[in-house]
Amino acid sequence: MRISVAGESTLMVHFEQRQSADVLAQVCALQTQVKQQLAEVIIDTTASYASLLICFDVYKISHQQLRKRIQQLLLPQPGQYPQLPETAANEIELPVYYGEEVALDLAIIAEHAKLTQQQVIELHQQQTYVVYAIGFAPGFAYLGTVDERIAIPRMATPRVKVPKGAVAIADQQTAVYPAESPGGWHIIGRCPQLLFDVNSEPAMPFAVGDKVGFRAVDYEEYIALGGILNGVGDGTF
Amino acid sequence: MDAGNNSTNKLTIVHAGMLSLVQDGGRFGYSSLGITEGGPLDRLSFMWANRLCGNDDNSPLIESTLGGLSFVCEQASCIAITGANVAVTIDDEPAPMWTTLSIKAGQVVKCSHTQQGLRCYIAIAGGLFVTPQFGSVATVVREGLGGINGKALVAKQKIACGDNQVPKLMLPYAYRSKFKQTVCLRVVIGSQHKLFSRAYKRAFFANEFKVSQQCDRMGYRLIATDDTFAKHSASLSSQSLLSEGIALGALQIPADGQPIVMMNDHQTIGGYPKMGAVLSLDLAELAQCAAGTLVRFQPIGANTARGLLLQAQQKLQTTALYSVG
Repeated sequence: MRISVAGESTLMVHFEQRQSADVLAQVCALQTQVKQQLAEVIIDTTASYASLLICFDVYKISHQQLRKRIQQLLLPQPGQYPQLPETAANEIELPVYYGEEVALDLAIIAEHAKLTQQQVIELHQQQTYVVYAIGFAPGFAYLGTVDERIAIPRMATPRVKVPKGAVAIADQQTAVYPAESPGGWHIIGRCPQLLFDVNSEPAMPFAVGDKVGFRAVDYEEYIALGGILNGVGDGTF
Repeated sequence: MDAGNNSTNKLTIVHAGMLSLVQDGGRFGYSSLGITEGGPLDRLSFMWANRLCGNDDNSPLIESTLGGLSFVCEQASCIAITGANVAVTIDDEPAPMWTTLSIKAGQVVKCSHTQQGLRCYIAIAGGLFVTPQFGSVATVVREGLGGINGKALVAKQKIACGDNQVPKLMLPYAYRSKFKQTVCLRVVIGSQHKLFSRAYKRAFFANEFKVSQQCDRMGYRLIATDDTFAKHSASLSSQSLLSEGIALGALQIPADGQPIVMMNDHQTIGGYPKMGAVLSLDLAELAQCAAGTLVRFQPIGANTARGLLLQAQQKLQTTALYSVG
């Protein structure tokens, strides 16, 4: 773990630079500690893959003082290996409708993977994913790691509009678009569940470090769960 | 927002101008949801507008990019306009900036298009009453959060606001914004500077850059004025980084070597290598720079940056507004 200056009121903590659930667990553990123990000087923290950005009140504490306090959080107890307490990760399951009218790029993914569309769907939902980062837009979660057999690069030309709820793949990441937006990920289905709600607390059902599974639902269940079919067949997306 | 205020006053937008946004101090503590901070690009002018109206420093007001805004209030009100130079009129009579102004019910306040600088700040005594989202009314259009329905203001919109009558004050000339031809941005050097070659760094801090057309509330893209700068960029490592949190002012360097300064509406995570982050005091100056303005960078350390911030805070606390009767 390495602590360095990122800006006038920010420190960056870098962990081993690789995408892995183990590294992410360390990031989340440190984030929990920082939020609990240093609340009076912390303005915000951003956890992502293998780093934690810490924004602090520079009028209350200097970079060096905060660095020292972060290091102290990590000091081992006598006789103990230095390790932060694990944070409990939530596990949630999201319904996905993989019907061809909403799985706009399923055929392309299948062709790229040299698999049948059904095999692609099975590979996509058999995995339990980890939320590695949240960004790009409010509520947009980067989920890894997608089975390498169905990994596919971003589209050469991004779509101007991706529908709200679109479930998509880019390289070995998958995500659900929380709102309509531009986007270049290949779309494999749609999720009927609202993933970012300004009016609810919490606004999102998961956080960085949580686990997410997908469950295939049929048309009837998708509609019953509140799923909509906006833009289907009219060329909007 | 002034919770104890019983004002029934309303401000009606007559012309909204290019981009007029409700802003307060910003939205903090939600980057883990992917929500950015927003807030005023020129924090100093923002704060002075509020102080001239007797408001708390972070009260909601209107940030107008490029000016061209006009409005009326239903009741007698006190207002102040700061930031980019605009010609202000009240019912066609010229009125000063950086000064508390009394307006009568129904009088039309007009701000011309900006003559120098880009963003002006229009505060009303008692503040604007807008419902906060995630603890702030700061409008971030890209996220659809804050302001009125997460959007820029439009003509005919009415915003509930204060009707406080406050002492008339003005900010001495010496403390008002200056608009320069060349701006120096002090950069707090971050650990990723090691990812850049010495030749690139030398060229980076020696060169002048121009503000490009791609400059908005999210980021300012700068272009080196010296064509030979590109050859140093060629040595940039193209290794891809894991996405990580982005600080306000972060100085991202994409593979073409032309820097992007992340402003208040920046995305919360990103994967470009960063030289460091621009000092917030200088971001306010950059935010007033139109395309074509020249920019230089100067490296500083974290201790120096903190010293400068504490000094600026001290100066703010001791700067007195003049009474103008």
